[in-house]
Amino acid sequence: MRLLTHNMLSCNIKGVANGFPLRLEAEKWVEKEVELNADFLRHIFPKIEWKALAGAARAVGYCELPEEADAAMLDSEDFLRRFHHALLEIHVEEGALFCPETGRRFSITKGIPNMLLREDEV
Amino acid sequence: MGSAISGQNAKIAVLDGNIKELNYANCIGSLGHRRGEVFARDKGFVRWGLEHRPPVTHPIRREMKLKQLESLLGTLQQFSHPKVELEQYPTGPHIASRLLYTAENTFGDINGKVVADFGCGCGTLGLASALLGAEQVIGIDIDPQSLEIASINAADMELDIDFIWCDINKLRWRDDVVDTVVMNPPFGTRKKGSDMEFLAKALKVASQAVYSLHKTTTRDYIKRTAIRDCNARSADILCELRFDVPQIYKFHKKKEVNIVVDLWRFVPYPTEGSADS
Repeated sequence: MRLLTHNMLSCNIKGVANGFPLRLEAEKWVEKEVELNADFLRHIFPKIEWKALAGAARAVGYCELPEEADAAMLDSEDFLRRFHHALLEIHVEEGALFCPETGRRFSITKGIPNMLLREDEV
Repeated sequence: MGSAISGQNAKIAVLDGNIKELNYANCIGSLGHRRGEVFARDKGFVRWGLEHRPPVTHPIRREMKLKQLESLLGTLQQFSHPKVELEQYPTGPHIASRLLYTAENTFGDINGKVVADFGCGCGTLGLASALLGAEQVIGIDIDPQSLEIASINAADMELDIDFIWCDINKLRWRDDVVDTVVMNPPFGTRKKGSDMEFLAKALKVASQAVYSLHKTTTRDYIKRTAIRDCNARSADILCELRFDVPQIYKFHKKKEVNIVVDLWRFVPYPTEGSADS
């Protein structure tokens, strides 16, 4: 699971008010280099919840993202490179997604988060 | 029982044997491909841990020919034990390649986009999206065995795509991060209305377009419901295809059943406050 996917996922238990972001608890992750596509990064930037991305990046030991970001930063090549790395090059293999609101933990196994709900949660 | 199936025997033939322009008022052009262009599969190493592979570059993926896409998809593993309650029918390479080829070459909805494959099964549509240069592909399915096969297929093709184990119906996503949804939803013959559940969710999540296959017999209903209830600004049929469902379940009396399906392109209304067009 890349951090871009993490940035979309919300807790899906019935009755949850916000459910986003899920706190990433990463146990194992890998990094795979991908070609940087600046147009894509500019396209996706306004859709990203920055604080959630920065938090998830810290959970995998990547602390190079600023706490806050605005569109003007997209002119910086250095910023694009960090944004790209956090968003697309880190794959969480094992761990969990934790919802602070409900206390529910969704496990991540072989890179796949299990978002299936139990009967009493739907 | 349980006759083995593969991508090949689940082939989908187009009516009259060829993709052709139909005379519908809302039909969108033909599916011809450009000639003389070469596709080279990238030679990225799939290695884990501290070693890393060279950056994957796909400069000419966009120019891939339809036939090349189809034959690559023909190598994918399909369901080993299809589950009837989930209406698991493989999306054959013929139909998958045409769906994605049109999405990319006619509409530019794939390359450099975030694409979600709803009910991805063995991952055919998602992998086809990745082959055509989608920046990020996310496959979602309720069935863990399917996700396992899809992961193997992705690894075999040296493509990185994300998977989520989830019921589409219960999926909760921030809207509009995904650009395009591609799907071959259950036709709703076993569980009534499951096709429309998929469509409603897809139109909620996607910001750009939704590609989907639905039985031609439900055409008027699909169009009406998509526009009235599912947030679709437009609903167009791109072509009509014949889905040859092989005899994979016990209850199938005939050796092969042809289902005529429409390939649809839906465009969602932008959600309020969405940051991107």
